[in-house]
Amino acid sequence: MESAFLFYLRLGLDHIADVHAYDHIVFIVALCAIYSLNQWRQVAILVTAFTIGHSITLALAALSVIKVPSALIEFLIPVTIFITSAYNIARKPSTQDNHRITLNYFMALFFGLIHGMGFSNYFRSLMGREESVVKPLFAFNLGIEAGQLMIVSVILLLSYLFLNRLQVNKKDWTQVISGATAGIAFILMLETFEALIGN
Amino acid sequence: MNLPLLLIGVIAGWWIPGEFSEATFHDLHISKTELAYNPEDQAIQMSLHIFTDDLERGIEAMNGATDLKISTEHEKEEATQWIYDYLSTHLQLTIDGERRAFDWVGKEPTPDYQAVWIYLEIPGIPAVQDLEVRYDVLMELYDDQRNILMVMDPQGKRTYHLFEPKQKTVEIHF
Repeated sequence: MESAFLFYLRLGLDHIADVHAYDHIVFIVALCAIYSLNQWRQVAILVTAFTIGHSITLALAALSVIKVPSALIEFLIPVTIFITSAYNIARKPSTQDNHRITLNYFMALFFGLIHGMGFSNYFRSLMGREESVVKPLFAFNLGIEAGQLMIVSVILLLSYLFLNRLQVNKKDWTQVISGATAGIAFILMLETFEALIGN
Repeated sequence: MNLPLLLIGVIAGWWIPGEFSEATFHDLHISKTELAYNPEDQAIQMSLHIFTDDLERGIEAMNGATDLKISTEHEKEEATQWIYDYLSTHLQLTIDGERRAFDWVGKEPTPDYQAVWIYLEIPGIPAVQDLEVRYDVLMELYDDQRNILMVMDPQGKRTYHLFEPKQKTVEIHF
């Protein structure tokens, strides 16, 4: 037996950490692929930017202020992963000036808007008819944040292991991770594009 | 750009999705039921929300029936009976130790026609203390199926229960 708050908190957490719906995980991996553990402050800002983005659209869609074409969003989510990965691969690590970093934050914020609409599809399928949206929405979003923090911690720990302990070249690390996220994104783009055209 | 490493990454990326997802990506495998005990009617009343395509697939797996066309003008005559049969198997209530079948009340499509609301009722219940619910709708088809039960007790308090393949039964105490 669970209260509404705990129930939606758990579902939010489950949703972002769900291996069946791993697109959000892959996006966070791609976002973090250019950072090492000692840059955790930048990662924190980046994840906050992503959170602001997805919270805005999740709330707007859950409160029915905006209507979400779900097939289109499911296609756009892997596109955000692909662009982030491609940006990681193409960028020159030597030019880590403030301008580049700022661009990264804007990407996280903007792409967050798209992921939030994806979250809202799931969230609305969970909601009952008679209850108020606000409390479940808050709990669900909080669950997503908790899951997100878990994922980021695992990634940063792995990057610490590979970069600091095993002395892997950071550029190589970024290339492999970003290549993998780009590959996953490409498959997902093909799959979701079929569904988009089919509708 | 280090091409060999990039390629290793991309190949891993191509392989990973196949390992984790089957069928169509991101299909929402969720059904939900609102259950309330109504002391005035002395009845348990339920509204069940289920995606139409999933329901049709479930019935096809049950008895081989195809082309049910639920919620269309070509809906098969037997569709209602089959939906009832399907739900009777996959949503089972035991009230104070006694298995109770529900009556069919009706169904209606959701505004976007992607899902149906199905209304069910168990009349003749002067009081209820313990409720055991087995709710494994569509779990025989999807290993990521989740069913949500929202229970409103006679005092108007809501509780939430999640059913998954590893947790198909829940006991509720009023």
